[in-house]
Amino acid sequence: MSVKTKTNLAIDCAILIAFLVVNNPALTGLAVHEWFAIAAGLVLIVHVLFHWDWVVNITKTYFKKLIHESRFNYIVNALLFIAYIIVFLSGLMISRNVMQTLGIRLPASPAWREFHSLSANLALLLTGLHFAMHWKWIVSATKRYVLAPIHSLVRRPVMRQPAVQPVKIDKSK
Amino acid sequence: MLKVTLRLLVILLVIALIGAGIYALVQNSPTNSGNPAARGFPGQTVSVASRSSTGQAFSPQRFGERGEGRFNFSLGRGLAGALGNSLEILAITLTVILIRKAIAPRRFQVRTVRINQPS
Repeated sequence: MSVKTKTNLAIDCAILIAFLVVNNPALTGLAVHEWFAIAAGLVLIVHVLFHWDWVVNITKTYFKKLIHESRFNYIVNALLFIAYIIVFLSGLMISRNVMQTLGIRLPASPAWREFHSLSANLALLLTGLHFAMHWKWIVSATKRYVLAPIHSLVRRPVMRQPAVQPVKIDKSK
Repeated sequence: MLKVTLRLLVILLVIALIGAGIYALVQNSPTNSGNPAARGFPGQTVSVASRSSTGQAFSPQRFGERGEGRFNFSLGRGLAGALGNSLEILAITLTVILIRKAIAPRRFQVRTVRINQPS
């Protein structure tokens, strides 16, 4: 369980950093922005793969017995997934480097540029919501797997105390 | 391994279906139809010169020039943007957490009360 949680935390951190980098093309320049976005898209697919059981379970029980929070969470995640697809697709449609490298010529239109900008803003909003819905998990996993190891490194080593175990004394003897 | 491959294929299929739907929607949208000259590649010169009601001619623009500067590499601007995005995500997160706390049903507080029983 802990290995899975650690892996999930590492992937989620990578996605967040990748999202912040990709969302600001000035940080990398246009060519790196396009290729980096493709890499980030692949990491997103891995993220969905890691949560496959949750997706299947909620999809099966969506209209049956389910608490409201899970339903809302599912809707947010589905919308986020769609928003990322729109960002990715519109990004490919207005791409200058990736498509040129692949030798594909696409009919560009101003609509795709608008869609790219709009869906990126929507993805940012939904990422915030997604973050909020998993806040408890993020805090507990960060405390356990990031802060606690750092704290134990910084803390002075303490002399180990011998274990004390209560022993029952029979007074009748 | 086969299970993971199948799951991956399902995810890619869903992405392809949603992508195809969005592509069809955008390509057939009214924004996209219209002046066929406007459907050029980015950077391609597209004549959008026209005359206003006063008869003044607008200068031709290059499609894709609008907001071009923001794609040029600038570490300071990029970092500022990333910081801004982080703050936006944090603000949304905090807002949602506060709303959830306000909505959540209040838990009963358990207190021990000493009852003086008549002797």
